[in-house]
Amino acid sequence: MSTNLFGLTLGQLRAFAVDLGRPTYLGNQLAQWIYKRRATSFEVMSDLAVPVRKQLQELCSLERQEPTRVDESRDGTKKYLFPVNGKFIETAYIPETDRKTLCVSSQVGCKMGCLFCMTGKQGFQANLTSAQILNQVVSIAEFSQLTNVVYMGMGEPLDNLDAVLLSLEILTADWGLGFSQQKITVSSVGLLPALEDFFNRSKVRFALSLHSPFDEERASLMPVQNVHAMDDVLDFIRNRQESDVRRVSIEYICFAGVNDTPRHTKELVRRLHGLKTRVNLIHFHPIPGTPLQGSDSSAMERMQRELSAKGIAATIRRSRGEDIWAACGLLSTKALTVPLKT
Amino acid sequence: MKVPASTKSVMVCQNLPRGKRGRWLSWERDFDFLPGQIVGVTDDPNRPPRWYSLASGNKDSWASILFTPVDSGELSPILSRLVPGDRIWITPPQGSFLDKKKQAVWVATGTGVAPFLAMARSGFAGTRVLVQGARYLEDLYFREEWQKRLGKNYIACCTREQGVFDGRVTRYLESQKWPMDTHFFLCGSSEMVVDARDLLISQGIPFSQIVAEVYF
Repeated sequence: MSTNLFGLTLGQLRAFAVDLGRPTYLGNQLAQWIYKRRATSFEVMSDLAVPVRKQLQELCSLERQEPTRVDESRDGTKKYLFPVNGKFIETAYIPETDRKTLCVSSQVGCKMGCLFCMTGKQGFQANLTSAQILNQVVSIAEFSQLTNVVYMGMGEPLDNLDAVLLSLEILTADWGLGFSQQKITVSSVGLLPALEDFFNRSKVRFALSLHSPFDEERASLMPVQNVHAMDDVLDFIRNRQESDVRRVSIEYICFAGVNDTPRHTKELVRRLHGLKTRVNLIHFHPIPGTPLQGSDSSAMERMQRELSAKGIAATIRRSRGEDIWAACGLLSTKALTVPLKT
Repeated sequence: MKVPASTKSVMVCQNLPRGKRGRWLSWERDFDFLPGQIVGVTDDPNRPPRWYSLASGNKDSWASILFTPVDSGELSPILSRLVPGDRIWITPPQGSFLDKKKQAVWVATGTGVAPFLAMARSGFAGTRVLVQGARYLEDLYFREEWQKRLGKNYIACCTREQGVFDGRVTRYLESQKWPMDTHFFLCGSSEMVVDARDLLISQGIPFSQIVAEVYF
């Protein structure tokens, strides 16, 4: 079986070169070709000797996977569907005036079972490899325009931490894709101790999915609360912020009458005390069969005002791509059950 | 990744087979816990812990977990080979999957029955109902104990063998008319938890009355 070199870090490529009986610097050359010049075959690697290229062709591959479907919203948002071992993952391209963001998946399906999430309805199918995560970035037509990458698609990134960290290393390295660490955000429900490992081994931004400031109410939305309490997660972040300057944000999907009342805002302020953070208030993309309704704009604006009045920066994230099933999991779950139009 | 500083080494007392593939792993208990809580377990302080529900009673002298070894897993095959005298590392108990209701329905598949066993063995079974599911009768863990404890409030569901309710736990839940004030506690795979929760919600049970714990 050939080794796919796409998705390997510089260290892994150097080690692979040594395993082939070649000098370490072959790994540097490969990294340049694979990530800087995005070569898809060994033939084009003109500064490698012909016998080396031949050996690489025999033993290795540079596998990429093209998306099998792309839907474009009226607002310019695009939803890509990539096949992975007979299942599907989704990737969303979100263009705005000042930034072009790509939302990538880290798993096929998800184990977390959040009430408001369509991906959870698939159950957990598989972890993505670093190559499968990075493939979503480099295999879309808009790659060269991307300014930001967010790990907010299907799956829980901290439940697949090793592959996520490898992909982050390649995304941000000078020898890799060269994204600024300030332009990448990993979003999580907050798994401990994986979160500590993530903070120790990366410098990218972090977003915590909170969605309710009350323990029992959060548990009814997010089963993870019964295992890793939000207080433990917030305390960990608070302590780390004494020495760690990365931006941490709070993700908060607003559900009408469920988590958008003044009582919730007041408790949210109390919970976030001492934390350097901003709150992203997010419109809910309805999913089939959900008992939840999205808050209306006035309720979200009131929450924003109340948070701001207490010194907590809050933004309302615009809803994007609703006409193309842009909420994560909607398209791939549909693809699992009905034939897709192409 | 290292285990948290609060993790400690304990000695395995027992490691017994249960059902077709399950294991019952015990060590001497020197900590208090609330039935329904979990512990992180690892064989090596440099390996991240995996989370397991405590399955023993909170007055038992041993603490126990119920698990199914996963062939491709990093830790569970190692745990399955442990013998008395071996050492493992455990985190302090944590979690809030706690049944504080007087009347509730417990729903479990596979080793998801573990927290309910801890609750029952800690004296919290009362008149609660347990709906337990498995593919094979042998994997209805502690079936005889449940029959004795709960009598007709114990419903076993099996998909591959006869003799109990024929089908998944969701099929049983669907076949019943539940009072709208019933509280449900679900533990098992995320697929079961999500399916059961969706089903109960479609029957009109408020989602605030459904408490879930998923494996991960």
